[in-house]
Amino acid sequence: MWLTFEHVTKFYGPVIGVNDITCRIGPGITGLLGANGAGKSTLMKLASGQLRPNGGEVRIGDHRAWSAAAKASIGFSPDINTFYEEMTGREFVTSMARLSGYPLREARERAELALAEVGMVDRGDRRIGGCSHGMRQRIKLAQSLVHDPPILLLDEPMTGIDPGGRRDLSRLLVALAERGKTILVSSHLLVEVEQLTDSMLMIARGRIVASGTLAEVRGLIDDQPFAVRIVARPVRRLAAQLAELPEVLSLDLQDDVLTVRTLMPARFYAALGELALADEFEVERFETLDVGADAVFNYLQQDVG
Amino acid sequence: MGIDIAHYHGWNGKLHSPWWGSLSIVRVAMLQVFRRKSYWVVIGLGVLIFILYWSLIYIMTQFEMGARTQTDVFRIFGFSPVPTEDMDNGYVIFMQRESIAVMILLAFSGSLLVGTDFRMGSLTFYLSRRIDRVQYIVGKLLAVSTVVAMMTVLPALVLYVEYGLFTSSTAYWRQNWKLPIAVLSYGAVLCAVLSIWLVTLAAYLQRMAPIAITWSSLFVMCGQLSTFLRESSDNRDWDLLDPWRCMRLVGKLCFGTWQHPGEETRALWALLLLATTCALALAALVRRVRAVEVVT
Repeated sequence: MWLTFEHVTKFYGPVIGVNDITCRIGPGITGLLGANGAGKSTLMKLASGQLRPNGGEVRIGDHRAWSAAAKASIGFSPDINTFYEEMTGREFVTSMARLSGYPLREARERAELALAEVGMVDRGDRRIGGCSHGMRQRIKLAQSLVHDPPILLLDEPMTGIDPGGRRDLSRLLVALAERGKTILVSSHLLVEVEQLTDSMLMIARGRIVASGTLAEVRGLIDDQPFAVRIVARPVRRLAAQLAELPEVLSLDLQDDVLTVRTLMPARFYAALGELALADEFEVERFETLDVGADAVFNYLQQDVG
Repeated sequence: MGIDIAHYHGWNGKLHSPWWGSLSIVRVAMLQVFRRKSYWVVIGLGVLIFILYWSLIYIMTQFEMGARTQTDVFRIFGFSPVPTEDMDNGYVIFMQRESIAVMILLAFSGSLLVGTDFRMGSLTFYLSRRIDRVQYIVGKLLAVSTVVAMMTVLPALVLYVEYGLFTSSTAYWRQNWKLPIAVLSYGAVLCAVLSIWLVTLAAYLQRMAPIAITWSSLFVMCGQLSTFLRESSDNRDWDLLDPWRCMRLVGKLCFGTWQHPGEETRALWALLLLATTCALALAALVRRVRAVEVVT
């Protein structure tokens, strides 16, 4: 099932939450990345039918996102940490199943399945008030899974979960995606999403600033320099020769480590290779510094800013 | 801990209407209120009042004493199993006593039942389901109404049944069949007004302290002011300032017994007053829950 945004705009009074967003999200895991206040939660709430856009349309399959039919097709795990402290996880998930329209017996069975999926069966009778952050995340995930929706909207699901738990949840989400579910996972940390998927939507100041795989997104940035770190001998002579190349924007030499910035990485790499061969530089280490997701993200944010 | 990739089975049955979701909201609310130990102090107060009246009825009916003595003892406790000369319904008076416990319980539980949905953002759990805001509001109103009914209407009806049982004949029930109708009508007014006012107040104020202060002020201050003005001016119209008296008067509209001259007119004014405040509160509540304002 597809989640579609068509020219969606949402205002909060004079403040714009999201601005003319158009995108289509299909089966598999898609990461929604953005800094705090970028518009991730607004986008999630629009997708889960809790907010109506001021302009454009959000569709779940063929239905408008705020219709009952659309809501039956989504599971939403919000980015909140305090909820229904007096109830046990099992009671809470069962109640959410009943809110989805299931009779009590079916709701109980589904709650057990959902708790099993998130590894909470043995701790399901613990009061939510006594649960750790990670356990609460699992309970929220269980309530979003309880009615087996084709679309999952998970707002910061990895926050507060220990590394082992993250690995478990990543495995679960990948398995769910393999079952054909459409999963939108929001995060402000790229490293979390990178581990889950290669498919990303980057949002900043209410706009989608990039979409696609991380490599594709990096390719979109043609006005940001690549930083390349080189450990070579003799490093000062190499620096002097690199400084003469038209591809090089700047050089920085510290502790025999040379950092070069260039706008034309392909030509720079070719030139560096020729220099190394011709003048017999011994290149010990060579690494690009800013193809990591965080660097891409920072560039895009600066671009929008 | 490993994660079990369970597989859901298909559902061939018919899903309940979203209106059933309102009952789920009531169930969740009851779990929250009755699990919190501190609330049991207040619930205990209500139970103590009930036990006092239950014991009183038991003693008065099971031990030999003259009718006059019985009436005098009942009067000490402000109770009468049959309408008094000035048509007071003892069960309704009992409910007014219980209302003190209800008022305190609601003052403290408003934040838990409604406020946290807005303050912590847990409203999103509901609104991302098949229910919409109308069903959410109905669920919350029913939840508060259930608390009110459990502490007022239900025990009052139990006392009515108890008195009839202990008199060893059905004559009491046959002769006083209007009493439970009065209990139910007064209870309905209590449930409707208290739930609408509380849910709206809690949706806006959200935190326990402001809700408790405003709620208590509404009932205690207005009640005191009403009494003062009525006694100083000898004008019963000031009763309309007191929310409890207004609710009592509207309850009487359904029952149709009047104690004082002009009470029927005052009851109609009370109805107008309560209906207006409830309509305004409901409009404010719908506005608060409206999707655009859900954002936390």
